[in-house]
Amino acid sequence: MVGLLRSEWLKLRSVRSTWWTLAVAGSGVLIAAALAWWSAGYWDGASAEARRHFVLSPTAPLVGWLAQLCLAVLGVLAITSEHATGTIFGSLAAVPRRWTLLSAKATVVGAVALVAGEAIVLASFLASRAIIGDRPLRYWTAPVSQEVPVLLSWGLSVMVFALVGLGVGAVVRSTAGAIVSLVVVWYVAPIVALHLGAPWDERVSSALLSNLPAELSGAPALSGAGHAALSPAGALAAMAGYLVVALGAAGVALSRRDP
Amino acid sequence: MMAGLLASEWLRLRSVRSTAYVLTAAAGTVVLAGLLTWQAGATPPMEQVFAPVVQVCLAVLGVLAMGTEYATGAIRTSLVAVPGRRTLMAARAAVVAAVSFAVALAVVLATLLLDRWIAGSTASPDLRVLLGLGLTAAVVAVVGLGVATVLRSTAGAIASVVALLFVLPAVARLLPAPWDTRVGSAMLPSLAGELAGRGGGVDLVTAFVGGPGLGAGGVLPPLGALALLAAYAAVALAAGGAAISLRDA
Repeated sequence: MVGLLRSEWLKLRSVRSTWWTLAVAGSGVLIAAALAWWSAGYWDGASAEARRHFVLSPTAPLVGWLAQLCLAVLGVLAITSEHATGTIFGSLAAVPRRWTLLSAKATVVGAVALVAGEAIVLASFLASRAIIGDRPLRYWTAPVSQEVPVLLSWGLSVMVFALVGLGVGAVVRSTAGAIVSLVVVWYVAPIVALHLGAPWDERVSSALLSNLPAELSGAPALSGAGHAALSPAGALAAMAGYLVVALGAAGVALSRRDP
Repeated sequence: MMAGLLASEWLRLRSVRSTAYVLTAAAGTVVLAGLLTWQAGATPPMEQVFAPVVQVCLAVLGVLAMGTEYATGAIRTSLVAVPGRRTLMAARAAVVAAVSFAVALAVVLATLLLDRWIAGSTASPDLRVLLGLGLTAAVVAVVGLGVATVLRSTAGAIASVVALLFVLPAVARLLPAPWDTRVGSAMLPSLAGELAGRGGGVDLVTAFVGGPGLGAGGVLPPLGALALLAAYAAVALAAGGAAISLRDA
């Protein structure tokens, strides 16, 4: 198993697309820092009246949201590029047990996405906080310890998106199809859910993957789930459910079909 | 010459399965919108709610029109048949834009009519909004084609278009006023509303990202929005044309 993990890690780090997706996800740190820098400059030059109306929303959700998509693309490519190029034949010749191959891939992709997600969200927050300093901007004055659940939740959600990407990629086998499916999960589904009639708008919203990090962090106001919002434990269970379904479907698809 | 070229591009586009999938997905939004209207009763204009989905579908159509040729190597055959690289690009862009415009218009119109029938509404639709949504979708598809020509990667091109459609507007919303409105109204998704004289009318950036809404409205007048829309297409085509001319296929 160690050799298998090493080979999957080698595969992942030796393709350019991995570094591209990580770089784009990491650019969220720069975006957050730029927003903080701009806000700090505005704050210093603003009148008391303008300051009262000024809001810089927390940037961690935005950065995490961007990283979710990037790492989902990484997860998709980890399997669809094998199907596109035919290297899946070589991979399965080397590792004939398909569930074993999938779990090794999932372990490596999940670990990379977890580290990247947590690092990016945390770095963006710390950079923004350092730039804003002790300026009393709304949303930016809570002690760092209070922000930790938010940061951890968004970082964790990046891993879930990457593994769902891997699962969908294994089922769909087409890069374009899998990425579009992930975009639907990531962006379209939450919007559509908001337009359902009550009470289903809140019930469905509470269970959507895109809304889980806000619910997990104990700040469900950002999720559109309203009264139906899941508790942090419920949100964690729902995330696990997404992983089981996506990877289970991937395992079945890999086992049942010829590559 | 050009007629034959357009015919061959049209044949290419309609003979791949991915086109059928994309168009099915776009048509599926009509059904989904109808179901939503039926379930929720009084609803916001569904053709605007689903505009981003239709735009993504058509962007993927544009991306695949070029991306799969690079992935499979068919681009070399295409260039043997049509050595004028900008000519090839122009013909392909024309076909993709025409198909996208027609599809978007049909989807938007069908959504509108279905919703009116289900909700029993008699308010007259704003034709300029429909036209704006169709035009925007055509430009989004051309942008997808241009980006795919530059990047030569399907995954990279789809992710870039998604960034252009969804991520940049979300970032723009976090900018300090008045820049949130100014930058926001220059974003592709806002242009459809501005074209119809409803500044910032199509504010669909997700609520879950947080932050205030897209200001009171866009700042671009219809003609300005049209010029900007044309600029998006021109930049994408120029970049794609330069990339395909300067590099080996």
